[in-house]
Amino acid sequence: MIDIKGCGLGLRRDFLHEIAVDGFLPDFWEVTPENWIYMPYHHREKFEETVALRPTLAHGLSLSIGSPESVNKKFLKEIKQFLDRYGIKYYSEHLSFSSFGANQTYELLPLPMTKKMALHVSDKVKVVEDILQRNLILENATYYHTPQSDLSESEFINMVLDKSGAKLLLDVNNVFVNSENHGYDAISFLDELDISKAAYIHVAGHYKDDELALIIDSHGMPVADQVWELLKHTLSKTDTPVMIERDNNIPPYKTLEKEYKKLQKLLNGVRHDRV
Amino acid sequence: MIEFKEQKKIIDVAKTIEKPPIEQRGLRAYQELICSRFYEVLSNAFPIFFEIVDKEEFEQNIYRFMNDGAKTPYIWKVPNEFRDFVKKKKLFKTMKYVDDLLWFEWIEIKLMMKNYKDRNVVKFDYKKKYKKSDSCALKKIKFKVHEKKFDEPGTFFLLAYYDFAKDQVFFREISQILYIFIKTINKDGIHKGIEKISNLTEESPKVVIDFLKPTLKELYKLGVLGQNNKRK
Repeated sequence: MIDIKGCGLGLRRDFLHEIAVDGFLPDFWEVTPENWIYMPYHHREKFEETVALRPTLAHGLSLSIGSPESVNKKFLKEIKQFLDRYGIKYYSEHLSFSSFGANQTYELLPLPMTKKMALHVSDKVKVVEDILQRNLILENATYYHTPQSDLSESEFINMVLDKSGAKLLLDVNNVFVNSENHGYDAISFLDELDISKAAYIHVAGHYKDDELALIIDSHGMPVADQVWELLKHTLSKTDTPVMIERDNNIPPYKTLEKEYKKLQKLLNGVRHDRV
Repeated sequence: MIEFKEQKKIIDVAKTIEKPPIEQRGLRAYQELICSRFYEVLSNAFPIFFEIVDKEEFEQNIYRFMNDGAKTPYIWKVPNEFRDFVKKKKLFKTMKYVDDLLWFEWIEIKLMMKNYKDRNVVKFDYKKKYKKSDSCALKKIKFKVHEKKFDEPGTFFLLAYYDFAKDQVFFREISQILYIFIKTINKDGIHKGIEKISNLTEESPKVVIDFLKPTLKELYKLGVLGQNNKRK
């Protein structure tokens, strides 16, 4: 568990200057270090003011924990500097790979779900934690192609968490997307997952690619009804904080506030029912 | 490890221009997602170039670039790696101005994204030590890409600077004299710069000082001259 509570929002440059100190603020922010370590100069002051208003988590993109190479120490030191500068205690990344042979794809690619890969990732997690001086939180990623694997997805995630000691960033939208694309039951999957290790939860939007007959995790739409339903089920099992991730087609801050309030209502309702 | 071979298969498909068959829809999705990300980043970073480039050639060269490999973990820096790749491989041969144009479009991003230290502007003084500031860049170019003049080659000198009051990058064509002067003071200080211009123009240092003073005052005010503005 982490010492952040309630509902959060991904902080994006697109609406940074719409945020008022005395206006609507979420319980916490999540920021992507790769997008803020270097930022347009005219955003810096506002960014610093904004993250000082609320507890902030960091959610990275370029770590590539599953790639064959050892971790990029120079990059991780820059991440650490950023986390230290803004007093960010928690750092999450994706259980996937995005670079191979030091060549970047800027896409989250699927890992073979095997015991060897789980051990490989676990070893790298420890190096990352040593450099960052923080526990790593790993997100269950989407996958549109299944590399040769001998474990189920839930077995693989549980093994990585178990061997590495990392916490889980449970992306409920990803669970939904994967269940639809690979034809499994999302509720059963959530029941198999070691949810006691969940640090926090993501929800986001997706779209259907008709040509490929796949649901794509785009973070470019409002959260879908089925994902809200799945979130409700998830929240009945855990007390972790939840947040909305929006990375594409970013609407005005006012619109995100409405979606945030929907999340807050759902969270309060479920937690009230549990008491 | 067999797992790494499996990962390489995905990478190899993603870097191939031919689409995988529709039955391999997952791999096809990754190929499309990766290529469209590079395409989007580069076309957004180089809007003038993108407007005039042959789109087929652009896409082919994106795949060549992807095969060579983007190295930076920061996606906003990819356009600079692409620019270097284009220069190294001499791509887009029909666009003789391509190196100047890609520099022109990249430098705006670079100057916008720097972590500058807060500036403290005081009165310009010849007795003080000045350097070319981190918030500006100088370039000798062969085409007036800043005016979208791609047909008349020559030798031109361009100054790009971040304007702290307007939060924008501006470009200014400068004289060769000023170009040499700024380059020299950056390396050897202001007095060597005056000496060099004095020798080049066969004018006395006093004439050079009087001639350059208004320009230098302005450049200092704009942040082109200053101390190191980079944030630690």
